[in-house]
Amino acid sequence: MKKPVLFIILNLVVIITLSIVQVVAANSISTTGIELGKIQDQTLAIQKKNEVLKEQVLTLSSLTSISSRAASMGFVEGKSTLVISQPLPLARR
Amino acid sequence: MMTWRYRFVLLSFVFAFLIISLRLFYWQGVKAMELSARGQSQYGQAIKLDPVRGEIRTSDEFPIAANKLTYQVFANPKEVKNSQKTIDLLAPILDEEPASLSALLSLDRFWVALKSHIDTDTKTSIQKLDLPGIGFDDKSVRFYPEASIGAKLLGFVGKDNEGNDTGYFGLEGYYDRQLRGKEGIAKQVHDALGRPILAKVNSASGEINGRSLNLHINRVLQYVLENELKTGIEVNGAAGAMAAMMDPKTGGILALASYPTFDPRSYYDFTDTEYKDSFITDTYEPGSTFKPLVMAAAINEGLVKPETKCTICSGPVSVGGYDIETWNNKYEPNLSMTKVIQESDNTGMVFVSQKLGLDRMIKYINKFGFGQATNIDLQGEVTPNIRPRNDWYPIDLATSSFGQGISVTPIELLTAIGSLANGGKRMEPHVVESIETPDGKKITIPPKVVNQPVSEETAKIMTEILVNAVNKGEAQFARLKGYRIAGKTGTAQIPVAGHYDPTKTIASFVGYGPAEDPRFVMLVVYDRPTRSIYGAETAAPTFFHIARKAMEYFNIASTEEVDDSK
Repeated sequence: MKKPVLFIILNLVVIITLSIVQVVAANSISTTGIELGKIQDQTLAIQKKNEVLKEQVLTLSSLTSISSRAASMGFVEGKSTLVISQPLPLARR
Repeated sequence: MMTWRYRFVLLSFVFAFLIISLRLFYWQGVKAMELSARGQSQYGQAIKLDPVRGEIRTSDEFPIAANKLTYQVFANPKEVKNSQKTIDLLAPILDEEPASLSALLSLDRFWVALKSHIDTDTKTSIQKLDLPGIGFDDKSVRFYPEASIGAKLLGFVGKDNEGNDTGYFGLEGYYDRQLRGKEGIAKQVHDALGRPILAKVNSASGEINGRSLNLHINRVLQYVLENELKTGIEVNGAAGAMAAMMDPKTGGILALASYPTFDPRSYYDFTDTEYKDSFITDTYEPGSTFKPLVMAAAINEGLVKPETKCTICSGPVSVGGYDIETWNNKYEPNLSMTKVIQESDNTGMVFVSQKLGLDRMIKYINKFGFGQATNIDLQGEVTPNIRPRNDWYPIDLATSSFGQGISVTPIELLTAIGSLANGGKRMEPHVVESIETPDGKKITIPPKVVNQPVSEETAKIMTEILVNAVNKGEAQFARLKGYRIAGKTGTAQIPVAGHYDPTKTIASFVGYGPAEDPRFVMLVVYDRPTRSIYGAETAAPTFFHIARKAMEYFNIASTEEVDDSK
């Protein structure tokens, strides 16, 4: 008769332990939904900010923008290019 | 022995099990899908994900067609507390008439759109006003950092019949299915209050965003080519212009532009004529730029050599009742083949065509790819037909030898001349170098050799003839000093109502360089220039302006000493 009692007690202990674990676990993750929602909002906001910044970077680094800014700053196009294709002599005649 | 009560209980149990089994089958078999969907709707939410269109990037990975966020301002008129104040504050920011805003806010609706496509700054300034009943929807739209540069190449993104974004013309049209992506569904599990919870079923379905295109197009060369072409149109008083530069070794298009053009940001203000890229959609008679191909064919067949003398060049040549003259009505007996190209002598080319004969002429026209699509990856390529053999008359053979009476597209001519720059091998032209999936995997489009119209030896001989034509021909004043460039001018009259109008021409220049190891082959075409009708005085200077900048860009040192005193 002792064996069934021990078995029942063991079962009860396991059930109670698992129930406690479930309550603790459920309690600990009950607020993750709120946190997840916040993280998703933050991700979205950062993504949008990134898109805006990327737009600015692309606009400022475009050749159209750079050339017009260069012109307004007084830069002019080089008309001739010096190509050094062989060593020049030190002195001639 | 079983009593009747025992049997009754047993049968009752069996019957009950049967009923339960049938009911379970009904739920799990017949109604499974419906119940599953109902269950999912109770604990989860399917979110529609709009795909972001893929980018189009130049060879330096700069997106010339990217995406940006824009916003639509909307109002719920029933929630707007002080209409007049709202109108007074919004009208100047949205640049709208107060009367039109007032009309919208007085509608008996829950949602009215006030303005679309506003930028982030405008949205932020409206948000700061904290107006009740005013909200925003965001949308990703095409953004062109380089403004209208490469517009014809890119095409534009418009709407189809169902209001979906669709690419038209150019790359947007040709690669629309790759770029547009696929609408996706994301499943998210949420709690009773609608807050998301961590679960395995939070997932998006497959590849949603569009794939990006990495081009052979070089942003610097495209910018240079477009600016030179714009200047050239003004200087030459031309009705239009087009030009393209290709890497002869790979067929990669380095730059391509045609005018008049359009602005992809406001494509709706333009017409079909301006959308089409005339470099691939228009046909024209190539004139003298066709001569190198006919000469190459004759050299390849061993019929002429650079030093072969023309025996019919002492005066106009009569063919089929027509007199064929030179462009300047000057004649030189015993002209060599090198000088025929140098002087762009029509009678010399008639001599070559007579040596070549009709069958070989048609064979080489086909081998150089005329009358066949080049398969360039842009929407709208046109393929002009080459007349059937039975329709060729002796005069057609003679005129086609100097590029009249035969229609080609500029892209056909560019790839044909490209074969001379590539050891005789003709490459398939391509704008896109690779397609990139959203997760960064690149699918490369390998260069494709279409055929070899002429031998490597012929290509070398022809290159020397063309270098000589640049250095000593009619366009020598414009040539790029210090470099060996192979090239040929073209001045083709335009057929109008059965005859050629001598005052209206297509002026062009085709060439490649540096001759010893070509990095580019380029064709520049002006439509009906008015300052001068000749290719040597209009297209050639533009060609060499672009070539000079290309040489600098490629860091190619000059191979000949430049004496500026000459």
